[in-house]
Amino acid sequence: MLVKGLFTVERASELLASGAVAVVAGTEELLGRLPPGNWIGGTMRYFMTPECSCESTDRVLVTELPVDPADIAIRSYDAHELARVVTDAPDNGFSVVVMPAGSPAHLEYAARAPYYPGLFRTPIVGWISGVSLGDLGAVAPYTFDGRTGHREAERATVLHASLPEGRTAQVSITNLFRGGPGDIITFRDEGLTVTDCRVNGKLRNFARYLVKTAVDTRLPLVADYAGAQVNTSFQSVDPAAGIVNLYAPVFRGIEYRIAAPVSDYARAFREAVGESHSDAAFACNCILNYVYGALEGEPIGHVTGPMTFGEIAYQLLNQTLVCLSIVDA
Amino acid sequence: MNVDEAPAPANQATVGRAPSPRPSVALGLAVRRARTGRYTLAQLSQRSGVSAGLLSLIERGRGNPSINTLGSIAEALGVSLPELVADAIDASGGQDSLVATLRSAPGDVIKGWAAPEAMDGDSALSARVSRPGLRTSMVLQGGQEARVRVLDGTLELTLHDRTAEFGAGSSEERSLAVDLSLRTATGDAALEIPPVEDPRWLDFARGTIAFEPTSLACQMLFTHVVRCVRDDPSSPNVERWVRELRGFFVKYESVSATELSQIFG
Repeated sequence: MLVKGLFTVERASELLASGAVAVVAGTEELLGRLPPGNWIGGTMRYFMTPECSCESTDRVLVTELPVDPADIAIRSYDAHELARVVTDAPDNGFSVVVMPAGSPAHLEYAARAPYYPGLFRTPIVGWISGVSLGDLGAVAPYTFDGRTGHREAERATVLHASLPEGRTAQVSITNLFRGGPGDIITFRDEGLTVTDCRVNGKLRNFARYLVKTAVDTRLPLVADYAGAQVNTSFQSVDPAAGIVNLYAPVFRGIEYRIAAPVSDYARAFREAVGESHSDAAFACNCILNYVYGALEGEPIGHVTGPMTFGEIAYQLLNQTLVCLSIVDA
Repeated sequence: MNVDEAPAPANQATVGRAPSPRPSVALGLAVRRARTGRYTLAQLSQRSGVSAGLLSLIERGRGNPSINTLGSIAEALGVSLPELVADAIDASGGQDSLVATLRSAPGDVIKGWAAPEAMDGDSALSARVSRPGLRTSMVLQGGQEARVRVLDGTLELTLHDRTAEFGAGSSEERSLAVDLSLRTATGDAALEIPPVEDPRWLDFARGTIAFEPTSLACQMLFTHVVRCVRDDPSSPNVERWVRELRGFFVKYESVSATELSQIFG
């Protein structure tokens, strides 16, 4: 039985010292106390479990992966090396990526990952590590390489796992949001910082458009990727400077709409998730869903993982539940 | 080591006409009939807990599902297992297939006449199929793994050196095995992935073919390809993205039957 859930450092240490392959989320102090082993980690203190969503500074969230220690490789990549995550990935397997929020690796992956050759034929999931919401800008997020205990503030830490013949990895997402009935918004420039956009084809300053139309920026931009709804969340809007900062990049040639409101996030997640992801090998969700959806104390379905500063399902996503499943090929 | 329709030791190569797989094809047709118009492969996969790849294989009569797996599929389709099997008994159709298997132990070298060419970072070799049977031109050494398919009379070989992935690895990782499935042009299984020069790839990359992807990866890839090709329709860029698309379907052929039939009919 694979271990998955919130544990004290002592209990997590027992598991990791036994050689289990795992992804671990917790505070920097707790992660720093874990023993060497076949794990990677990232700083995060917000979690989802089948019992409830919660914040914890005295337990770590452990997701034991269903792979043999002999079939993994743990590697670190700086921003310039990140395309190698794809080429280093096993032909049949998956990769879990953890990057510190705001790091060069995070920014590079956000902007460039969809252009990496082979990205979408390589099952890649992961998350952006973060800090307490009260410590934003004051405390650095980290990732951890469990084999050495080394922590990284600038680089991505990646666990590549090879699967045996007959087993395969599937990546899926659950997104509560759908594009609303409003304007169609497109962008000429790609990236996490936006100035101008086109609204129904007409050139506008995006920040001033958002203010003038009183957009609720807790709702993400939503793009329809051939049936998959992909979010881009707002970080800040500065109408005076005419700048909008985003948590994931917008891309040229994609049509976006402001999402329709979701009245009850917890209930919507429970209805969408149910027990369908209870056997997920790995899952993560978004801190913005945790905050905007007032999920603290709320169960959102049979799924366990960190509430992160960005989710990765091939590319960087926002306000989305990401799941990795290992199934028969 | 060349192989040409000749029996060979089990650890080297075998070629022959496989028994007609009518029961499995009939079962696959029954599953497909029950699914079509109600669920995509991805949706049925999520409902049943059976991978989309295995479902695709089953629908094409190429899977070998257990009773438990069939039970899960039937339940997800809202029918009983006996009902599903009864429908399969009534189903007709079949496919002939030629199956060739080639295996080699570590250290073996298989020599041929084709030259490697770059393709998406992997080495690729071409070989010709002269008639129903097999003649290879592979140049493989222990430590390499080859995936093989038939393309309009041409074998496409994608070579991948696994020895560098995880250090020395086990002896199993270093072993070499090539399985060839040569299918005759009947039924769904006849659809093969065309080469990048096929003009339908261009139509697909431009987004002019109605297309409903069934996996998240394909949804994301397709969307990015169409926007990138529209943004920069220069030949090198189009070719780069067509290769990306084709590389995806080559890797996921077993789960992409629905998508491929949308693109290539």
